[in-house]
Amino acid sequence: MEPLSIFLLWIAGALLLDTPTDTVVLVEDPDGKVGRVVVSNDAGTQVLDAANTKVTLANRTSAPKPPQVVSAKEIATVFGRALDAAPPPPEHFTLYFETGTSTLTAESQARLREIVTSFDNRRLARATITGHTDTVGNADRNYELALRRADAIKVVLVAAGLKSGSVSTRSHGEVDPVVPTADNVSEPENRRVEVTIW
Amino acid sequence: MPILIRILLIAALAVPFIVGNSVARAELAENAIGQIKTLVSGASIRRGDGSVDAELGGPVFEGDVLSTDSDGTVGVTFIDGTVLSLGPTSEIQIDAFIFEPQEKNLGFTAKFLSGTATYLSGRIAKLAPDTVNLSTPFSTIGIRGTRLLIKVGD
Repeated sequence: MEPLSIFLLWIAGALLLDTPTDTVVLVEDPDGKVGRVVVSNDAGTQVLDAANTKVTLANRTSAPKPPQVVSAKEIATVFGRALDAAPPPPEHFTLYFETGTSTLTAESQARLREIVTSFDNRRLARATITGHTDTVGNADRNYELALRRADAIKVVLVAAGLKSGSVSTRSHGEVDPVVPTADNVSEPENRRVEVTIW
Repeated sequence: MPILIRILLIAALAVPFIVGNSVARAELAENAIGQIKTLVSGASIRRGDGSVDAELGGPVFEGDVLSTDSDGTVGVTFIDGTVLSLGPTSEIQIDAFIFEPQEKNLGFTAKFLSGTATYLSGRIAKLAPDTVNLSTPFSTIGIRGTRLLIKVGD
C-alpha cells in the first residue's frame, strides 16, 4: 500500500471513530481535602491541584493538555458505574495507652464501642490493628513492643464482638510516627495503636 | 452494665450480621494484598497462566489483572487502605504491591489498561508517595495523597 493511502485511511479512521483519549480527573478526598496529581509523558507534564479538573492525553507522543474543569454531570455520566462500585473508604481509629503500660486510656476505652459499630455496619468488614511506638529505645525492640500492643487490642476487640478471622495485626514499630521526632524521643502521640476498619 | 452482659448484648446484635455474611469469606489468604468488596457480574482475574472469576470477599494478589465485562463492575480495598474500583469493560494490572514499613519496603505499581476506574490513595502513598507508580497507556501519574478518576480510551 502507498504511504499516501495509509495516511488517508488513518484520517478516515480518526474522523469516524472518536480518537482514543486517556483522562485523569482529580476529585475531593473523602475527608474534603484535595490532593495533587502530576500527569506526564515523554512530551510534557501537567499538574492538577483543584477538585473536578482533568487532564486528557490524545496519545503517547503529544503532551498532556492543560487542565480543564469537569462538570458533575460529566463525572456522573462517564464514571457513575465505577463510582458506584467503589467500596467505602476505610475508617481509622487511634487508641492511646497509659504511659508505660498496655492499658488503654479512659478516652480510648470509650472508643471501643465505636470500632465495633463501624465493623458491624460494613459489608465484608475486616479490621487491621497496627501497633506503633515512639523512638525511645532500639528499633527492633520497638517493633516487638508495637506488635504486643496490637495483639492486646485484638484480644479486647474480639471479646467485644469482632470476628477473629477478620482481624489481623501488624507492627510499624517506630517508623510510622504521627509526630516525627529524632531518635530516642518520648512522644505520647506516637505510642498508639491504629485500628482500621475496611 | 456488667461487662459480661455487655459482651452478650454485642454478640446478640452481631448474630444476624454474622449469619448474613457467612456466604462470603471471612478469612483472607496470608499473602493477599486486598479483598474484593463489591462485585456486579461479571469480573475476572488473570492470575499467572490462568483466569478465575472474581468472587465477593475473595483475595487479590500482587500481579493480578482485574477486568470487567460490558456490564460488570468490581471494587477492591487493599490492606494499606488503598481503594480501587472498575466500571464496565475495564482492566487494571496490579504489577507491584509492597507494604513493609518496618523494612522501609513500600510500593504500589498499577497500570490502568482500559475503561473507567476510581482510585483512592492509602497508607503506602502517605508514607512514600514516590513509590506509587500509576500509569495509563499514554501517561504516568504522580500523586500526593488523593482521589482520582481515570478513563482510558473511549
